[in-house]
Amino acid sequence: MEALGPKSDGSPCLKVEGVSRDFRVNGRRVPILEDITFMVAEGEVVALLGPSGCGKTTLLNIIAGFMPQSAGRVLMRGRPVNKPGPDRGVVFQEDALLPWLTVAENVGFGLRNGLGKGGRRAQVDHMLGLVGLGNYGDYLPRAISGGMKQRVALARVLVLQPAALLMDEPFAALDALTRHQMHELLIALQQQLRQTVVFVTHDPEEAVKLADRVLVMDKSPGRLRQEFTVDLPRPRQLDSAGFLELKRAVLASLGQRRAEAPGPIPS
Amino acid sequence: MAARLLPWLLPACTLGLWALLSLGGLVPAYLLPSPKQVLDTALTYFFAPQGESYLAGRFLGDALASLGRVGAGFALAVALGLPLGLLSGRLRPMRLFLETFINGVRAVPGIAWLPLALVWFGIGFKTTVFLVSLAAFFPVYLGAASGAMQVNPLFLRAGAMMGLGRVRLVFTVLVPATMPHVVTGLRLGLGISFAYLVLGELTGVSDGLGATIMDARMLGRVDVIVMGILLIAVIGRLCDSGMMWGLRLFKSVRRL
Ligand SMILES: Nc1ncnc2c1ncn2[C@@H]1O[C@H](COP(=O)(O)OP(=O)(O)OP(=O)(O)O)[C@@H](O)[C@H]1O
Ligand SMILES: [Mg+2]
Repeated sequence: MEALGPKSDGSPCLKVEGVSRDFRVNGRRVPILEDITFMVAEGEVVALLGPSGCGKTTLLNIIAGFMPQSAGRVLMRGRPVNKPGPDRGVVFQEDALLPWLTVAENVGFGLRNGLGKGGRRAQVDHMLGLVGLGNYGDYLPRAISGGMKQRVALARVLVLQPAALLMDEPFAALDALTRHQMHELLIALQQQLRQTVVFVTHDPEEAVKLADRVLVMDKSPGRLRQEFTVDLPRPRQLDSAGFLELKRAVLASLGQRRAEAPGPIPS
Repeated sequence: MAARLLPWLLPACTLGLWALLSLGGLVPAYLLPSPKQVLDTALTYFFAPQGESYLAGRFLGDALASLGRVGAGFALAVALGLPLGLLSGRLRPMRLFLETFINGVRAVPGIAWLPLALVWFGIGFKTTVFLVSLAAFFPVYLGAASGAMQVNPLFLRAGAMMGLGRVRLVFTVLVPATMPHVVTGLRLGLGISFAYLVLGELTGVSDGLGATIMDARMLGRVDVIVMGILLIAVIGRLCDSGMMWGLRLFKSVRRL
């Protein structure tokens, strides 16, 4: 691991360039994402914040390579993205652990066979320890709680050392205390691994708490509305003046009506 | 304890009722032989030296012949039905290509194929295997297809995201995720295999459980008919258990 330096050296990890996406609904083309452009530096945490239905999952799916964009392109360390791969680890909005595999088997699922059984086991155990599930390797997903499932989901992608970690509202379904613990865990891991993260959320507090930068999205069609840089030291004091002020500004941006009228005004 | 006894309660009651009806003289023996009589017949069928009577010692040969036909027919149905089902469940063009044809053929009762099968294959092994595989194909195919269609797309995405190629994705994600439906299809398919086995063997083949039942009808041996029915029930049940035991070697079956 590199010595502790600045959080990010500024070199680009992920570039999203003019990405648009339409869906066909009942024969009509509906624009869902329009001309999305942003960059994420190595080691940076960027939060994508927007109202429900604004296209956050769609955008993440395009970055992950699960679906094609209608226009524009996504570059991962300079290479265009056209299919999913272990360089972009995804933690899904819903539970997506493989239910017929134990926790340890889920975490080891993507590891190469070349490591041998022992090597895989060692990596899996190490990663389970990091996410605080050292004693749960033999459990089946159905026998662990929602928070633990998301820990496993995190572990199974981190073990593959992805260039970028894509997280789609990973803690939205958790209770406040568990969510707080997951935030602590994510922050600790991110600091330790200097992991690049794109974090989707609709909660301004979560965005400001975790991210170096917050990108606020518009709805129908989904566009980038505003960008905030979070220049607060970690760990962040949620009741500090700087934090509250930024949270208020982000919330205000999120709640703003779009400049243009939503529909044609009858004359 | 209760869990161990409960499965045997209904068979035991049926046996009791049977004994009551026949031994109490409520039903004449030429309609329903007593359990004792059927047991004696079975002992002859199993253990008597061959040639002593037409039935004597034929069980092993009959059972092996029947199992061979069921095994071959069912294996053929699985070999075709599983891959085609998985393909049509995942690939829309494949589904469109197969659906009309398969549903059309499915609408024809298997028994309607019997005359044609006799013309094509004659009496014996091939006709029976044809009928069995034709009948077993549909539940196997439909189970695999509906399972593959309903696989949680997140599982496939998760697999692809972790770097799995297409082939590994099929074997390590798609097939395990489809297993519950596949297992149902296989069990239904194996069950119906026995139905069509007996149908195929009723046509005058020289050995097999169905043939023995048919011969017994000609000879008016109701005790042999009842014994044949019971044997098919027991063998069918054992085959189902055996298949489930084998399938439980898969984690995806064992753990769901
Ligand atoms: N396959 C699809 N076909 C048609 N429309 C779709 C499809 N997928 C998504 N949409 C539409 O795109 C819009 C954005 O969906 P998306 O799931 O990306 O939103 P989101 O921002 O992730 O919302 P949430 O916060 O509720 O998860 C929605 O209006 C949805 O109806
Ligand atoms: Mg979403």
